[in-house]
Amino acid sequence: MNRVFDYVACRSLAQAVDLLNQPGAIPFAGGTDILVAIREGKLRPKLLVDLKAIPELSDIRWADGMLRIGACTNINTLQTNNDIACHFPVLATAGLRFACYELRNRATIGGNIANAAPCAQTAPPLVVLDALVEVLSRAGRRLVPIQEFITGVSSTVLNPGELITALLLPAQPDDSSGIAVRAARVDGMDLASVHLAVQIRHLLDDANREVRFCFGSVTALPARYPDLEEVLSRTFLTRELIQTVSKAVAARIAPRKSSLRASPFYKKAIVGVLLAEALAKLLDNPALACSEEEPRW
Amino acid sequence: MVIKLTVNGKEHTLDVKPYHTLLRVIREQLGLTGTKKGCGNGECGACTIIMNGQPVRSCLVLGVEADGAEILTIEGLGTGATLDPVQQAFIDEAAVQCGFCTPGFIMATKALLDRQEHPDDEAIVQAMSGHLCRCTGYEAIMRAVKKAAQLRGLNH
Repeated sequence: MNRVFDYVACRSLAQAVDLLNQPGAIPFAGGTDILVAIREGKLRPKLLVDLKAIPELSDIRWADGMLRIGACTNINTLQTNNDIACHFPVLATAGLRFACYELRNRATIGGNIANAAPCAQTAPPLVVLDALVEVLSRAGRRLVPIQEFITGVSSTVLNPGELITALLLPAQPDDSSGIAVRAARVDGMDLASVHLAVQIRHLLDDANREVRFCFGSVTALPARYPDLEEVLSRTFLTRELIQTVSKAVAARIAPRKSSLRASPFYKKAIVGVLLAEALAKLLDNPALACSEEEPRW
Repeated sequence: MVIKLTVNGKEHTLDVKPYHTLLRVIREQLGLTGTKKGCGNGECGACTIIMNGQPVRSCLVLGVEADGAEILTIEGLGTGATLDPVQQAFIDEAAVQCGFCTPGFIMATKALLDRQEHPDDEAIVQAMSGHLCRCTGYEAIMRAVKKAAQLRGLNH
């Protein structure tokens, strides 16, 4: 490591908040983004405030109709924890192709959101689940809806002296399901080229079904289209309807010119395909993913 | 900062710089150079060790974070006289050429087989994803992981 900094392993939230109010102090959990940024000279902290030993931050429990996931929960735990795997599969599956097993033992959900890279794989699932980000500061706790929390590329509403303590997920109806899928250069360790989270409430009930979907790695912020979600909701889902919405998403989404890992053209072409595939998987009906049109290439 | 950690069954008390990685501490302060630095960014897998029972990238763990930890490195497998079945399997299947990626692959293999006795191809590929090898083309490594599962099964 070619940079010099100090380190404290915190034992309590009070201690953490206190230390974080020192200039140059930053919250530190898995270290998989921070240590790389320090090495690259992008971050020059004076003090790393290690949060991993604070019990509340690794806790996962139901409270007031929400599942509270401690910010220091590592990505592998998103799959192995029963509450998350059973009740929030859209989040659990987002951890399936996320870096590699070793990094998932260290990377945390709080860190993934705080880092706010456009390719953050926990962001789209949290968006479709209407998650809240719990932030702690000297002034106390506040809850920020996830879509308000991330404000741009690597940019959030977190101020110096603040830390994310938990992600809160509202309980979903029993007959809900969700899935996260992605397009990447390899089916393994790679950041996503395009990432998609789909959550469906009342999966098999045409009259009450609610479809939510959100794309990551395409635009600076997670991309949601509430009006298109509405088209897919509370109706009998046909291949034609899904194709219509897929084409509308593809037409509307505006990939960043600085698109990484795939060209803007590719990303625009693949978003609709991913959406149809994800819906077909969730509804267990492969035919829904077929397109009427001939492929263009 | 003073830390206490157990490495390959032996307790150590070390004075480490807070900004030194566990990889650097293992290699330079403990002289265990079997663990390699490939990329320094957690992407190549050469620095993989097992910490508190879980495989991690030691280049992205600070030495100070290992206070109170149990560490297993490649040197901790087998003894001077006998090889660990995973090591034997890599030799049997000629899955070693230059050997630089090998300690990382072996630690990852051991960690995989500790959590899943008979992984299928898909599970192996996903467990080894994030380990780069420039020499072998990976096929021999796949065979070695399966052979290791077999050899470990024989020991039960």
